[in-house]
Amino acid sequence: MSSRLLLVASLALLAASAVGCAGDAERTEDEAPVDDDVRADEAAALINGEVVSAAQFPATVFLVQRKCTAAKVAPATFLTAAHCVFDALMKSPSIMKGDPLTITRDPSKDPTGTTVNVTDVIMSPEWQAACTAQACVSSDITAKLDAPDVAIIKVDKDLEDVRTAVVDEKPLARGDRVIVLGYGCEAGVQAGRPKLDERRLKFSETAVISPFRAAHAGSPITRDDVPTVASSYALTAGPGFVKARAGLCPGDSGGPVYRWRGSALVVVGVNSTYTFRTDDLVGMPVTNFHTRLDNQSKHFVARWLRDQGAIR
Amino acid sequence: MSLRRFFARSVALSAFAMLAVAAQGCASETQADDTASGTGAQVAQRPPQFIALAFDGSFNNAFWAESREFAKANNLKFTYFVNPSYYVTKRAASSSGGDGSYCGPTHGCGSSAIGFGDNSKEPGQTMNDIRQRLELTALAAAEGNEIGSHAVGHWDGSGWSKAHWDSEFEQFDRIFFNAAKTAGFPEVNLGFTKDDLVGFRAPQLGHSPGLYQTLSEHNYAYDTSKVAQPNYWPQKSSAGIWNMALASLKVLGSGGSAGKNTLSMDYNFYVADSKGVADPNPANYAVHERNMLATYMAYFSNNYYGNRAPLHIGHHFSKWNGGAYWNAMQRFAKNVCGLPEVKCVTYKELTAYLEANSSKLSDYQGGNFPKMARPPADEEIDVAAPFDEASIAREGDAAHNEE
Repeated sequence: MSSRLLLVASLALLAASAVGCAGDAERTEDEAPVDDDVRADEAAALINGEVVSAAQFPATVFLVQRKCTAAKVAPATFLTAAHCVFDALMKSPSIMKGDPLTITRDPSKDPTGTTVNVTDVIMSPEWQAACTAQACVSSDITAKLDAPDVAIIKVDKDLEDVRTAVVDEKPLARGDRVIVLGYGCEAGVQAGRPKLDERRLKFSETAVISPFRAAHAGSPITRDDVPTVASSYALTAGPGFVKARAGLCPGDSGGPVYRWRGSALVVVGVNSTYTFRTDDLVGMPVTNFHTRLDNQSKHFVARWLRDQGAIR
Repeated sequence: MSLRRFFARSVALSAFAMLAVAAQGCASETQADDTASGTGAQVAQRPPQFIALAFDGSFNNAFWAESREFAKANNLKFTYFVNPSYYVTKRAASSSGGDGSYCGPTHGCGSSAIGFGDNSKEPGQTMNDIRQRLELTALAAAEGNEIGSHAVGHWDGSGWSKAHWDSEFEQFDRIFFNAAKTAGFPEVNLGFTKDDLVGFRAPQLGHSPGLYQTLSEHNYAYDTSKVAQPNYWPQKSSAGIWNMALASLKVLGSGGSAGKNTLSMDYNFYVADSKGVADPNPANYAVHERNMLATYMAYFSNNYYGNRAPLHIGHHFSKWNGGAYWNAMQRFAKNVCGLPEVKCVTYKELTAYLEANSSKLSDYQGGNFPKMARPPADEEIDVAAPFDEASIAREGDAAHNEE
């Protein structure tokens, strides 16, 4: 059986298994389930990452002024994280209609990219309300936020050399293979920032882990928080959990999480936040949080994205 | 590994993983080897983000009231570095041997760089203004704000000897703590004594080596006259004086001052923006305000998410350029003083923290503690500027021109 056929077959099986696993967040076992796909022998990415050429992920871009990753999901329309367009300290949007926005797929070779003008910035209303009511200044706060960390940026010119990715409304299940990518830093969240022309697109293939994994020592997430986490986020293991795993790093925010659908990669999540150990000086995420985009997520993100023209 | 090979492998792995999940159900997993566990070594705790907001001057009574109200409304504390020359009349300052008499070192008697409380530079000032100033100072202190010294006559002391500084400090104590009696209001009580005054900022930031021995001998605890990089943690000098250095910053934003070097002080922005005179175009005031706010926010953000070095913001009792800088300071304080782990305190409170944690300061300076992680958007903005003490813009008697 070819890999492709195996995948198709497994997708069919997965649909059934996902139903059975949908209650993960409500699990009551004392021990959080451990994901059998968390293996230390896989290639790492992002932090300690595996570099990939921009051409291999043609819908993924770097937003220069925002220092965030994004994916084109419709003509002149980019999907990113809400915290990339909202100033947590000032509690106000950090980019607005009329602002210039420089977009590049390869900051190292094309740091000047293409500059367009923003025509609209639409962030999840739940996120905007939550981060106006409180200061979303740290990952400890955003990880506990009951709001989807997604935003849409519309610009005045379509970049034809950037392909359009499809957003998939089907939910992720624990164990699903996903591809995480972004233009963020590589040596640790606290280990300094690359200059624009040093930024590289990196990817990692990984798997969705149990949301109970977020309730570790040093994390702001308790077991009581897990249902809320699970309702808005899919989690992947970071290098603070298993050293070789990929970890989000500043600059990766807003980056798409892909899953295979047939022979195509479809967007199923957005890089959003992370958790750390208490004594971590370097900043190696234990878990990576990716905002769910599916039609079963708590805040109906898929419907909201459809309303914004990001799902057609 | 080629991408193609990677994807082929991914597909296969995906399929097997999914099949495995489907076959095993949801709860039949085993414990993974947690190969990235912590070292178990003790690490320093993250210190609070201290912010010291201070004013030099004391002349403008309306500003005393306005700033105090702002502090109360926003649950923060200010430090006021005052000039006793504003608490006496020129006549008293000129009266030889009186409690209000003042002879500035290397300057004549009966004069100051900023005039006096009934000043000829500010017509209409009356004895009642001096009384009000005394009462406002007492209220500010009673409300938990700190009163410090900005010397007496606002002279540039960068060329002064220790003897000059000794003279200035002795005159400060005599003039200031007898001011109510000298002005004829002995019933007005400041509510604090010279033992409560532990902080100093030199007029025009003009300091000299002799200052520090004088500070030590007069039981001062800290000085705020020097300049350092924005992420500098205060150090105690051999004379036992904490160096609460203002930050050397680059102006962020737009307009002519953007990119210029400045200090975390309103007068220095005023010089960068409009050469230390009122900008002839009031339309620029909003730009000046926005630029200062952006610069202060970047200064804050880099430290808050970085090594948590205290912030030092030094302003005056002046509303230069239409109040742009006072407006920016208020917006800054409102933005940050209520944030998690932020303490907007007096310098005296900051000094107490430094004394209690002096053994940890090298760890703090090096950022050797688990820093606060922002969500993984990269917002770091370079705001530090190189600095040269000789090129620092020093306020002159403009400090008295309290617009």
